Amino acid sequence: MHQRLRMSRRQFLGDSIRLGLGASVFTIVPSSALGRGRRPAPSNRITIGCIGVGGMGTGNMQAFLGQPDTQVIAVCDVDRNHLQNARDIVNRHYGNRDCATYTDFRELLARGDLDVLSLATPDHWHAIPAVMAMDAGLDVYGEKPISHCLAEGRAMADAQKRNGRIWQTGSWQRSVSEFRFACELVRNGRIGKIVRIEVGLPTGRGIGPVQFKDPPPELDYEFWLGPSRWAPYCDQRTHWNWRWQLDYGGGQLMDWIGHHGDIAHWGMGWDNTGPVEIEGSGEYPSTGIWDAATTYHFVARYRGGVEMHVANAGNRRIRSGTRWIGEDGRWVWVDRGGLEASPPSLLRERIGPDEIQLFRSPGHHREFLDCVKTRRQTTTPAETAHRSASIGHLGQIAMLLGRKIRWNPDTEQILNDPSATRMLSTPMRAPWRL
Amino acid sequence: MGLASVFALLGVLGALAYGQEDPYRGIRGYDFQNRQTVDAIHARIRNAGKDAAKLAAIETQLIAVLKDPAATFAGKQEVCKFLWSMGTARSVPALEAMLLADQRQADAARYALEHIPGPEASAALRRALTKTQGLSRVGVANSLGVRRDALAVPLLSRLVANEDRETRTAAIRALGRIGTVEAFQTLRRLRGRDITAAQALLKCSMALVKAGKSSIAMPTIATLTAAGYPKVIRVAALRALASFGSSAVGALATKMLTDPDPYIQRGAAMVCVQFATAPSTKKIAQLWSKLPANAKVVLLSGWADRKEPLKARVALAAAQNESGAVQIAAIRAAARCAGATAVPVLAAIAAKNGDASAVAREALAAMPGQAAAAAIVRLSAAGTVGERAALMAVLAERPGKASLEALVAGARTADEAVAAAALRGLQAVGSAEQVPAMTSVLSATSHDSVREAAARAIVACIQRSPDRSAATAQIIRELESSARSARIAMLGVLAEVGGPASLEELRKAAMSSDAEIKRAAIQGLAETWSDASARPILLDIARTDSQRTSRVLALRGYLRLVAQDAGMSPDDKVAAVEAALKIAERPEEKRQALGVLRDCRTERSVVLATQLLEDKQVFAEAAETILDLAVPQNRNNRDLPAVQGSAVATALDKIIALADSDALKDRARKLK
Repeated sequence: MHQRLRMSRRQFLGDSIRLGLGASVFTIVPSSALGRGRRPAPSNRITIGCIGVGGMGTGNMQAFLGQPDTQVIAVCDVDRNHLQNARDIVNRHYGNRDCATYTDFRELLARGDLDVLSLATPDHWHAIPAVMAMDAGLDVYGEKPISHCLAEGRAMADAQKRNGRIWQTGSWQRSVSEFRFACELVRNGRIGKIVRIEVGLPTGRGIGPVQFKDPPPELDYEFWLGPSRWAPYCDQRTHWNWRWQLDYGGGQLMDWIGHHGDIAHWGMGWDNTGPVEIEGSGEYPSTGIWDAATTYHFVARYRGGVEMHVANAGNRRIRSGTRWIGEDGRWVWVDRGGLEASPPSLLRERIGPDEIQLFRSPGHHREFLDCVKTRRQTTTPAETAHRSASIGHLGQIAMLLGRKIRWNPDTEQILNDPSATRMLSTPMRAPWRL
Repeated sequence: MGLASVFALLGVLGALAYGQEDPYRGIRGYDFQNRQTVDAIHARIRNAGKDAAKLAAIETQLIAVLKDPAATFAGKQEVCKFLWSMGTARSVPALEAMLLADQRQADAARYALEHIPGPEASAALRRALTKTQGLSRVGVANSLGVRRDALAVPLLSRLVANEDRETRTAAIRALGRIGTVEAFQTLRRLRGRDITAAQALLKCSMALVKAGKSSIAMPTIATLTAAGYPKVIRVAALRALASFGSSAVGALATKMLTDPDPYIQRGAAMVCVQFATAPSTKKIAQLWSKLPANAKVVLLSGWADRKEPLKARVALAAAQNESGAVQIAAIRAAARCAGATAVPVLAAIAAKNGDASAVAREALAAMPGQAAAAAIVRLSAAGTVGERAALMAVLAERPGKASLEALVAGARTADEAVAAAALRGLQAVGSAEQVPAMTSVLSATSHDSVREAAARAIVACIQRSPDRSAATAQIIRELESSARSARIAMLGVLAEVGGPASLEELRKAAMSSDAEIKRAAIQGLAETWSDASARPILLDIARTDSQRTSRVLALRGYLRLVAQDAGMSPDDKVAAVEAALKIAERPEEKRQALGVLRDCRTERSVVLATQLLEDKQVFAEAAETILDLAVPQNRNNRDLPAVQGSAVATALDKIIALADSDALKDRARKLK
């Protein structure tokens, strides 16, 4: 008999611990809202175009290729190597040569036969194609952080609402059971009234002198710079490394705030609001072209007095991930591959149907596609992503100015600080505009 | 270090010194590389805080950089970035000069000008609009739009028909953003159904409504919903009307639900969901059979959170009568808005196979409300077999006393499918409290699937229990009085949950005269037991049992426990292997022993492996073990040293002497 009882103690315990004990061991697997499995006729498939097909963009594209009811029909990148690689992946998948390629995203958007845009460009290239796509009637799966500055996030959230579009941000931790369960514990008062939240993100790094040179022939560098200020080409400026430069990204802070900061907001039910006061400091490298903060710590205070401490992990003993702390010392901490609580028995709790149950995702990309059909909001619509990114943007402004700023999350205005207010939006090089 | 690197380093050092002395001098030579001077100025601005006098002094220095023809473009561009946040009207003349220079300088100047408050910056941009061409002019138009400069409207209006597309587009979009009556009039005069113009007109109209000028703008927004305008504009205009509370929305949206274009259908349905009124819902219900599936899916999905009787009725009917995506959306909607009345309908769907069944189970599991909970519990006892089995999975997702009681009741039923499903549920959510009931089921059932499910559930519940020994005792109490098949299952459970009492029961059962009981006990110890405590019993069985199969099984189990014991020293492991080898009869167990020796990097391991070279059946494995021990290894990122000593040389000589394979001989020779 025991041969058929194939669950060893170790194995069972391992699974239970990994899944948060009984709490997340579900007997019913979340299903796609509209059914699974069968591949619909071509006319009923969701047509997808992908802009930005480097590492992350290709990953998203492959996730969409794996869905039965989609058809990736076009890809776009300013780097022809990326473009050809993506095209080949798509054509291999479908066994044809139909995938169209573009180096100018405006031409892709002008096709008129796309339902969905998958957007994974550098941060400074999020807002313009996203708003154009939504104004052209496309739904968008866009990478985090949603925006390069606060005003761009607001424009994107407004464009979504104005056009009635569906938006899913690549904040995929919301589709993972550990993160959802942690947030459900917090939302349902299992650790009491929250007084402090800790958000630990990676530490950044600087760089020494670089060698400026002509851009490689496969890269349309002027287009890559796009709305950002002009700067000479060097290898350390573009692919991947753009993240460490404030003209194109926001360092580790902005790269990760759309994950762990987003989870902090989800746990608190703060998808449509933000802090009221922000102050902190960061170390910004002076040598080389990478100018984003390497170490940082700021405090975002919310209405009701809750303090969110955002720091590079290890700074002020803040752990990587998200930790909510209740007034009586109980806490819940979650990170990728880790879920802990004090007391640990919290992890055996189950959330009942009459409690706050957060969305059980059938998969981040799958959920988005379901919402494209049902027109229900995703777990990470543009407004939500904008609010999560706002934590980081406001933290950046406070750190750069070296002073406390006060923020009205309802009107999205900085109070009594014109200089800080001007930093909410970034001017663009011609011809780019929102 | 090459010359270029030396120069680069000198440049860095120079800039460092330069920046520290006078950053305003330093920034004149900034070359996009070393940010020391940039940071020095930034620090001064930060330290000045909101002190107007200090900031003015800094601005004076920055203006001087802009005016300096020797300053680099990179330096001036950084200055413009500073002025972005702290520049005043005093900077405008210098920036205006840059606007009229080349494209790059114009872009840099706008970086500051776009944000500098006051009429001076707007005036400079307006002047530039008439003096610039190409992308510079496009940029200026964009900035005027960002500044919402009403005085720019006449100038921009002149550009809306410009032959250059970029200029034309920039002007139209700037007018849309400025949003004054004058801008609106220009845009309306365009009359084109081009999407850029229509979008600008819509945005401008929305701005006017927000500014209290509904009478001017609302009719235009309504016009934009008409067929002939781009579909995105039609839907956006409909949404705008709805958000402004237009009374025309209900009729317009209902009509657009049946538009031939799916985009319009879905867009209209979203509006119906988000801005619905009771009359419009009634109208939709009347039209239901004529609505396209796209619209139905969106309506039902949107209604899921609206507990209104009419919507609930439509959703319930659709769950029963529709198919595909509409039915699935209806199931979810019914579960959310129809309350307990949805339970029988959804349970009937859940009892079938297919996508709808899975969605129905999921929907039932998440149904809120006491009435729904009670209905699910009731039906879990009174429904059809299929419904009851489906509801067992649902109950497992709904924590609480009533659910557990219903699951226990389900486990006790005679129907195999229901009982097995209930036990699977208890496996997920049960506790030690349910162990006696499940043990009774395990004892009494004649179905293998139920027995197996009960055993799994009991193991899970005991493993979750804070007092495992008490929970285990319940099993042991039942053991003697149970039938053979149940006892076999219980022995499997004891082997899984472990503990001294379980070990003692398994030890006793391993000596049973009942061959099946005996085999189950030995198998439990040999294949499932997970700590060292069973080793002496297994070794004893391996030495003394009269049956060869029992001896082999026990020896294999013994070696498994030795191998996996992380707390045992290599010397102790080798001694344990030596004891096993003395009684090992078959090459299989000898090979297993060699596998343990490979991880014990001692000379005694080599000696034991060398002895096995005498056995032709395991010669190759013994030789490989020796060769492995004789060289350093890296396993799981851990460096393991080579075994040293005379035993290694002896072993290698023996391999060279006895091996048939030249390759083995060569490897041994190389290690000598």
